[in-house]
Amino acid sequence: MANNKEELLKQLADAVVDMDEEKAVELAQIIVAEGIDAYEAIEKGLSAGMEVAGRLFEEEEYFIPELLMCSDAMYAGLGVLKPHLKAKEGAAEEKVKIVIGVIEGDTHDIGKNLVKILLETSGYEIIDLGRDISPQKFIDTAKEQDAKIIAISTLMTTTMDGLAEVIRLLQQQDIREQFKVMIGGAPVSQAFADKIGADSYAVNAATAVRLARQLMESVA
Amino acid sequence: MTIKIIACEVMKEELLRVASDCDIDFEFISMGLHLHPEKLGEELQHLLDTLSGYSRVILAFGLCGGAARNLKAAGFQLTIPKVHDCIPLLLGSTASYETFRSEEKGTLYLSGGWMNGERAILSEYDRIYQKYGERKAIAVFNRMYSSYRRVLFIRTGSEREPFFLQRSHQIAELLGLSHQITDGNISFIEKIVKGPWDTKDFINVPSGESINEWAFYEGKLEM
Repeated sequence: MANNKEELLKQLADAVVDMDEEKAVELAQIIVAEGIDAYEAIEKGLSAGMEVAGRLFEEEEYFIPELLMCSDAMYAGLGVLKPHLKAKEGAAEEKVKIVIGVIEGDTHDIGKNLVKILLETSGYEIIDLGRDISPQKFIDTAKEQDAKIIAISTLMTTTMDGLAEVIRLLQQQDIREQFKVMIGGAPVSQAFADKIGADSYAVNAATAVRLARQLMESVA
Repeated sequence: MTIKIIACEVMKEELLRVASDCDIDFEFISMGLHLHPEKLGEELQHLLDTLSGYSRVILAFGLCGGAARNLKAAGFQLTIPKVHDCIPLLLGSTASYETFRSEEKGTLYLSGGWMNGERAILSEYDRIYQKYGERKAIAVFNRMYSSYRRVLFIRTGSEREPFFLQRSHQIAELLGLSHQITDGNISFIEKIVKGPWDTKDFINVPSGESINEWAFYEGKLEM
């Protein structure tokens, strides 16, 4: 059984990497039937597959179309697994909310969407504002929804001042301490995050999940 | 004065035309790397490190997603246009770019140079079409470009313009975007080749120093 489980999870990850939606669905169904924990299947199957896809993108084996097709396979598997996610013990525990979006002036949202899926499957409640979002809108939504984290993405250096503006506004309104601010996107760097005073910088989607966890532990 | 220009191949034709009467060494870099700014930066630094005997090396690039960040000049003055990407260079100025951007954020800027290379939109579409079939190709490309509303083709006076324009129209049709044409302005590209490399439009780094990323933001990022 143990071998079978490891094998199934690996095959599920491979189905994501191979962009095979049907295979991902079929395997997810077998996994459910075998009674394997859905959360584990998402983490060690679907997410693991996306991580490999991300690495292949860095290595220029895969390009953006392939990444999107991998995420389709991931979504397909997720559709099967999600209804089987067990509510945590003492189900009253509320999910941490994250407001996510692409900053004003930029409409590239493929990266943001990947981060969103991974955060969602990792147990966060995501409020997705979409793209081309003004700095104040991030803050207003975070306040309204009582979110703990504001996650902002950009692909264009021309819009990076908008990321700094979110932090400036939080400071001006004296609520900087209420929210953790995560930033990401190809042109963003740790040096940039340090310069504008963001709480963390995620180099890719998998790192974003890890950082969100760390940020929440740091305030717990 | 001995000058070398390291340029993105996207402006190859325009640069060579402007420099036809100049004694300048050129080296061109694949535009495929613009998807990977960090790698592009490494490639540029590697090239810069191998150079000797030049008084000035000009990078015909912008900040390009951070690719130009921290590039070091060793043994020559390093010059780079103070722009974020190649669009202001093709249009002639940052101001002109700002006008088009404020008109429509979802603009896909194209020029002749953007039609070449294996990562050009139509070749990439063909690759996916051949490999995964039409249904997948259409679905994926619709999503990749879903935030775009129009194609803006920038004319730069190429002899092959009719061909490029035809491709540009094809791209607009494929992605379901409106298509507009505008005249580029060669003056910025001319300044890259012939100077003056003034501080209004260029960042000049003395030998031994590095390009400071924040210089591209002109004080905007101050907290």
